[in-house]
Amino acid sequence: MLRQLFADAFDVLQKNLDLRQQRHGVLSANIANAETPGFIAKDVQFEEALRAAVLAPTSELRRTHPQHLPHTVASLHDVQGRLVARPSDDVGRDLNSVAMDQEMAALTTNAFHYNASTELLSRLFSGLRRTISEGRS
Amino acid sequence: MDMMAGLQASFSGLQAQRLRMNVIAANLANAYTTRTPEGGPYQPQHVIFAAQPRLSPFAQLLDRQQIEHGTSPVYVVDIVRDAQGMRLEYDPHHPDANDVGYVAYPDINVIQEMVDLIAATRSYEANVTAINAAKDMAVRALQIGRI
Repeated sequence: MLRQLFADAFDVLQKNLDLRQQRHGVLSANIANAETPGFIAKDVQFEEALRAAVLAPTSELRRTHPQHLPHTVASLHDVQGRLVARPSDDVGRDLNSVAMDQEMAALTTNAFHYNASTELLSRLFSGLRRTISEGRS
Repeated sequence: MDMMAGLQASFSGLQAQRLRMNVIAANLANAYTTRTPEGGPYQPQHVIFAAQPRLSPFAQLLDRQQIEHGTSPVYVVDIVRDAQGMRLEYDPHHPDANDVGYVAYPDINVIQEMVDLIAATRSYEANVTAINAAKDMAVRALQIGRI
């Protein structure tokens, strides 16, 4: 029963936190390398894959080994961040594609989404606590 | 682990920008230095940034992993001296003037150095912002489930 009530939300939020954290690292590296000649900005893409996995009908199949054949229904556990290069036309003479404003905006948005997920997780837990104590506390 | 990689990249950014600021400060302080231990006027210095692996094999292994994860830190790989960087100014009373009365000063453009200094400061601040965001995220993650 508990699993039915909360498992999906927990899994989605947990996955979201993981991927957001990974993306934060990549964005931090972009900012650190904002003036490194020839550095190409990178990003982690996962939002569409995560959305697809959430909307897909749930399946109990899970790949426990990388060489297993993939099953067609996307599972939340299989969602991985895809590291992509973010080239830009406006590289300047040092061929650096980092746009500081873009990076700071992405960093802030990413942190905001991360914080929102932690907040939702906290509320799930307090809802759970309330249920266990029969709504008394 | 991921959080640490991001923080490490940001810390490397702080370190690199601080070194750049120190080099700029040295250039500004020595804008009129005509004597150095190597002889001749002070030579302007510039930092070279790179996201490439460091020298020791262990650090290289560590770096390769970080590059694969897209969290490559930044390093100051070299500080180059501009040996050609001098300007001649006519001042026959100066003790270091040559036989036709010209003194060789380092070719340091104070305005350019100041602009560079501001850019370094802003980069430093951007890295601090990234560190604060990571810190905030970590604190909030620790507070999940707290009453």
